[in-house]
Amino acid sequence: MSLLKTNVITSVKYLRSFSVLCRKSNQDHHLKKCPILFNTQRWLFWERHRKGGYDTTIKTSNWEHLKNGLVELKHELKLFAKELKELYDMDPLLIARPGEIDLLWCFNSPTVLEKFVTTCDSDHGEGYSSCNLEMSPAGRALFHGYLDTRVPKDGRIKKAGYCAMRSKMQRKSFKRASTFDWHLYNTLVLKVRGDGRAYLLNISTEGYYDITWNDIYHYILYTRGGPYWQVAKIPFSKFVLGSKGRLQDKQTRMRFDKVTHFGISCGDKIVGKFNLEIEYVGLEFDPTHDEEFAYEMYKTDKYIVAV
Amino acid sequence: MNNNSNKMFFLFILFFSTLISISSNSWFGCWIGLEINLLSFIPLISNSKNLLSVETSLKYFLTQSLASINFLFMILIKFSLLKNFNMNNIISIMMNSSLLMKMGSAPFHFWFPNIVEGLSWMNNFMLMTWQKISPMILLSYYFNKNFLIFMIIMNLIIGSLGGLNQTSLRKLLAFSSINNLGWMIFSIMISENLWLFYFLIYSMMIFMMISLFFLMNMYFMNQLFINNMNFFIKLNLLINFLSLGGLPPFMGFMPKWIIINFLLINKFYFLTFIFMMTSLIIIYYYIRIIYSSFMFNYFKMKWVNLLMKNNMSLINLSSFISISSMILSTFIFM
Repeated sequence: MSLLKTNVITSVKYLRSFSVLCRKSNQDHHLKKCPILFNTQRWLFWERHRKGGYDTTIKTSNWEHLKNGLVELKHELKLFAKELKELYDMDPLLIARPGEIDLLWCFNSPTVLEKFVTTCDSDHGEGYSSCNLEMSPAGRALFHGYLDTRVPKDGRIKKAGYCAMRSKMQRKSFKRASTFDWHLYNTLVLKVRGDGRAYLLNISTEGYYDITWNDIYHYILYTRGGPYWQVAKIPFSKFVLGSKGRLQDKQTRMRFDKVTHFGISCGDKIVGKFNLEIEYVGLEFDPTHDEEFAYEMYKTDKYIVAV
Repeated sequence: MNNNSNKMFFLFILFFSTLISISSNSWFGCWIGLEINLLSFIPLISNSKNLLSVETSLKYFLTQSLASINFLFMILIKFSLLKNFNMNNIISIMMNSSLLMKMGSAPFHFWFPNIVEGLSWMNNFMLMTWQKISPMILLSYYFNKNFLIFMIIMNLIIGSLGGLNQTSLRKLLAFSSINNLGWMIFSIMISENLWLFYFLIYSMMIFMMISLFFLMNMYFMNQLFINNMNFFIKLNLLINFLSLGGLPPFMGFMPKWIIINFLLINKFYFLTFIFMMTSLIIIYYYIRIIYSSFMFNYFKMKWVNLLMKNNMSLINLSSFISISSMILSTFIFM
């Protein structure tokens, strides 16, 4: 037992279950230290952590926590009062009129950018890409950066090169998680000005149980490189279900009233800069669109599992 | 698993389990019936083609098994500690709480709209009607009067206020079901026959509503306004909703009238007031929906036809029954 312990102290372990035991690297302060060895293979579908094992908490002292808490209490009470007023009004949105685009985010001021979080592979030492979300000179949101597919040479990962921006989780008052409710709509509308690269639109419908925590509906948006804006109207039937990046054989309908995040990511394996300017992201109801699912599914024999 | 023979098998066990539960000599038999009920209902609602129904069936399983465990524990405590038949004590409160949780009654109702949202219409029909029978009857065997009256008030208020801000038809019917549970719990405190009468009429009304929504494939309120329904479907919707709300001269008024009669005989004046006020709130909400569906028809797309799964004769018959049952019921006095 003591032999095992000395082994543990000299090297650094990672909590993610498909890591390998490896030497100490320079960027290890983000990752949790744990005295348990993990194999390269995953034996279970069970997800221990919602965020995949990455430690993203910001360390603050208790006193700062208290002070922040008091400020947040005021903010949460205001939100709660707003919710009560909405309940009192009893006037929920019943119809989405066709031809009208209900905007989710209109990127004409820097405050909207705070609703998004950008992630890239260099955040936890898994690559060398960088990305940023800021206001462009034209007054719109610009998601830009440099995509690098070089793999860090410490053997932990095999592929690298992704950058993503994702909306923060919708919250009700008092830090309760809530979801978007898109049941009135059937089309996503984006006005973007890209650089010719293909971006991935991700709609995440994290459910209650850990099996669906990584369920994301993807759609590849091909952008034109020109100086003109493009309005992309994408019906929800065109989105494909994937879990942790792997497209599933058994495709199911998107749960429109349980949408948790919307994000755009760049991971098209082309090394170089990327720029995506976004004016708005909105939703529309198109009554003429009656497609349920855009892709053909095949009826397989019964011995083929999971379809 | 879209196999009809599987469904028949589990439905048969479901029906049988309720009978086991209500006709057993011992509390253990009741608990066994409840467990078999849960066991046979889960395969009916879990549909592996839909992620939401899988999540829903798991949530249903967790809440119902928690209530079952509670019930079993309270039965054991009752056997070991209590030597009398006095009904109004703490153990009866605990037993009633576990049965109320099985039914989805307030204040244990938080799972109910959530789960109803995840089920298809026919499964909802089973959940709202058949699954209430055995907990209700078991409730009548050992209830605590004051506790139940408090629960009735909570049911009525939560059922009426919860349904006000909903856009999903399933959640609306869920809150309406919670409200009607209040009426049913009171009726079972009076007599089982009265409860049976209320329950049968409620089941019939819910069946008519649900079959209408099922045939039109409607799950949300915007679908009421978008689809080009013809006048008779809307009229049927009007009749059914108002009947469910308990408006005379429709069928749904009859059981409520009798219960109010019993309330006043037993001098529950404040409770009567709450019953009536909450009914008004519910009717307000129903009227808002149906009047909107009559008047909002800005959508005249000629190439979209409402595809009906079956013919309309069942629906027409049900409307006729709803309207005329008040008159026809007076024939029982002949």
